[in-house]
Amino acid sequence: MKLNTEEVYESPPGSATPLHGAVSIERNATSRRVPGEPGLWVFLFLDLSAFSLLFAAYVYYRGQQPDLFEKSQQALNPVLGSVNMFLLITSSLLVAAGVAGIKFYGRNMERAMIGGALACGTGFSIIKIIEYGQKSSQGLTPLTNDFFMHYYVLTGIHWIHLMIGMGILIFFYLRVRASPKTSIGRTFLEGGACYWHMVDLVWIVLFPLLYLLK
Amino acid sequence: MVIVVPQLKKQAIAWVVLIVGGVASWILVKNENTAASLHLLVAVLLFIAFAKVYLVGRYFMHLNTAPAGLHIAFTAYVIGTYAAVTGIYLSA
Amino acid sequence: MNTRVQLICARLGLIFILPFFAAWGLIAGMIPPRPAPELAKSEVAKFYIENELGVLFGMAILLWLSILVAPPLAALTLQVKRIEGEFGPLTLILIICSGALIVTFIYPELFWITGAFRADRSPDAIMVLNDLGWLGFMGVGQLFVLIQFVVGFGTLRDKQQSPVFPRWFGYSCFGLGIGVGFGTLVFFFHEGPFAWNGLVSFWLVATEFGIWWILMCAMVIRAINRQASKEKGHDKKDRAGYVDVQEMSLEGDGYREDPTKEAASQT
Repeated sequence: MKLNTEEVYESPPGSATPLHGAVSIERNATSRRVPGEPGLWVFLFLDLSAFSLLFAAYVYYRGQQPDLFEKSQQALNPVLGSVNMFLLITSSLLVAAGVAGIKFYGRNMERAMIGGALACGTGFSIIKIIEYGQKSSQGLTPLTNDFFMHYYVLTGIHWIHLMIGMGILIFFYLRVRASPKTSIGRTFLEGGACYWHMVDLVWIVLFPLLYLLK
Repeated sequence: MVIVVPQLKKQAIAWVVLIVGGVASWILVKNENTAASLHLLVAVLLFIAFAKVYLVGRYFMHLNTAPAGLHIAFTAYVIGTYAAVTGIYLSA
Repeated sequence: MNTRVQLICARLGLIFILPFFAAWGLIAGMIPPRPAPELAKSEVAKFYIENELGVLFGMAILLWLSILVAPPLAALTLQVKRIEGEFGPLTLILIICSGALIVTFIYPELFWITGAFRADRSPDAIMVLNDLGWLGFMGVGQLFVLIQFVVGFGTLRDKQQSPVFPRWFGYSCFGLGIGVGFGTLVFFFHEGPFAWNGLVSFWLVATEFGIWWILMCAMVIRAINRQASKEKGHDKKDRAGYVDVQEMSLEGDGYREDPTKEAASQT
């Protein structure tokens, strides 16, 4: 198979005709393409800006009461946070492979990748529930002090984003399973994937800010 | 046999770097007592974090094959947020 | 549909926003958000006693300004109807939410004005009224977020040759809607960034509300103008401001009437 461009999407090896509705997507050195569509990035930048504001606010308020924040941070479990980080980074790779696989490897691989990402997301959620459960059983709630206010609000908002992302992935998974012949619109697929990457990206910042900052 | 497209290979490498970055952050924090300055440690920790963010954007979100304007805007976001967060932390 | 009246409706939205914040902030003196949630009830009562006239005037103005929310939402709904092609579910959700939204504006204003109405009341009662006002204004933005999401969803699903709204606007509805959604946090905290006077739950929410409102009105005006230029020559009555009552019937329940009339009014 000749790969004269960076990526060539063709039918999976062995199939005679291209997938119904398939679109050839070429990315080479001269043609640049907006991932998803331009409008998507309006959304992503708005959401990222909101998170930037939350990060900055956290660090500012931490600076007002460094001892309280330092002491309260001890209750956090960085191991669980790290596992969550690993799960999300891996799920991002799986989603990326799933999107790449849509044309190249065939539907089964794509479903497996998205399924894998969903499994990671579920794992993240289970760990989150364990974390929240552990803390609340110790009497540490969002109302306990300012650190825990930030902790619960930031991780909670992130978790809500994650669950919305999982909803999108479930939608992709079911669509692919239901009608293997038709493709999900490339814009929507890439858009959903980019949203998932954004969820991953936010945790990459949240984890050190909340769990590791000294 | 699975053929790995070049873009996917880059993403797999990015994944490895992200994991390594995570481990590096962990080691960095574990050695906080031997750190020259806590401020420096945190600045480096956050740098690693935002470098990882940049990697996710560049390779997972395909910004390396996107129009330059978008790539620049994202990079500006990463640098700007890193500067703001680290700046506020250091000025506390 | 009468695009001239629609245009007036949409422009009223732009006229509404500045006086809204001016009355709330300058006349009633409540921006930056006062009285703050962490204040003792005696200080809350003190605010209402000292700012009695300002709150009375500011809130009276706000009560009237709040109804100006209806015309732009009507124009918005008509444009979303153009996306659906009929009074579909998205259009109906907008109608339901728009009506309810105005009520969620009015009641907090009523609570605040009631606080100033008898400012020498017991501080306990004043505090309840103040709480109801602020929590109601900042924390009950769910209808607004639903309106934003419905518009965004409709915009992104618009498959017409020339869509009613640009796709980036659809995406911005979701992005700005998330910002407004932070308002719900005001119920949990008495101070800090997530309280009703906080950086996030007030300033981010108010800013994203304002940005979306202005953007929406501008997009609706743009869509109406494009609709009008498409209709130019089709119906001279429209440009004279004449409204054909017969054409205002509910369409799209599957019942086809005169096919040519339906084609002409299908915009």
